[in-house]
Amino acid sequence: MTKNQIICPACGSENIARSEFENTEQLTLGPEFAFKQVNYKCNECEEEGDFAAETDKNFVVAQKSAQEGLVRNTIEELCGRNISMAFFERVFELPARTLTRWKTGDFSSSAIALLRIAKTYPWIAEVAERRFESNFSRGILIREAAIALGTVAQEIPGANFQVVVRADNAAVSAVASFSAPTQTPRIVSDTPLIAATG
Amino acid sequence: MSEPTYNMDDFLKACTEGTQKVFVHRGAMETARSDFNLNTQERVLRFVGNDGLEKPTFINSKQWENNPDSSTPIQVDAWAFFSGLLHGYIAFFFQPKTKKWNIKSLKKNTESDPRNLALHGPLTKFLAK
Repeated sequence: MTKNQIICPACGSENIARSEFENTEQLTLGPEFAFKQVNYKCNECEEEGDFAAETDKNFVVAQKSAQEGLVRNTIEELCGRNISMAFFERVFELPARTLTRWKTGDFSSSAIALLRIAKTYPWIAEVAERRFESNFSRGILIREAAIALGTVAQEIPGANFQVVVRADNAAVSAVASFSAPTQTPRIVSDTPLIAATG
Repeated sequence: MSEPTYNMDDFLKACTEGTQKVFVHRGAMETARSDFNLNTQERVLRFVGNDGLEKPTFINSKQWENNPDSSTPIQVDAWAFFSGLLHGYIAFFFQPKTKKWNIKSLKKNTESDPRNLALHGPLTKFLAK
């Protein structure tokens, strides 16, 4: 389709004006990237948009480049947390050299989804190492919740935080208490909000 | 309450066929990005065409106000839907002249969520502290 054949999809008019401008988007857990946005405005019905879907192509190309950076950086970040590529492939049951392929740009949306999960919750590799066994998974979750609560409690003046970890690391209990601002919604309970043993 | 002007299944089927059949207006595209993280027209149409609109509920059917051809009135159907925890709103119409469906609006629904999520708001705020 050539540009002079483009019509307004809303009313069918050929009386349209085309413009281009640079737009930016933030890749989830990745860098911001720029792409050229194409916009048409119909002079008859005044509806606007990318009548010929030209922006989609520009967006996808720019997004792919940003994703390559995200994949590379995430794999390197995981390596820095002692989650090597070979370890990651073994525990998630991926074919050998999968992460090498990903690093060189040969990755899918599913690969990015898995990397985002691993970047946000690196301990998921420990869970995968234990083949997602339910008791172990719960134990890790409670351990990480205790760590997160500890972080939150340290940031709030007057907060009281206690965590009990059994010597073998198999059981954890955590209690955090602090005064919530009076204006915010409160959950009133006479038992700790999170208290669990595993 | 008015009846839908269009058969929802016809619209959903058109969405599976991509941008040749359906156009997403600029305002709808902007809120699709900000509210649903759907960044391209193709992604919007794949989402809508592949059962992305959960529990769709018809809201109303109103005339397209910008229609320059008063001899051929065009109705815009509005539906509420869910996508996970999000309560959404979509409005669309069909233009027989161009044989294209038009998604005029796709955004978060400003009407209150009819589901019972009493604890969700306070709990989210608490955890965000």
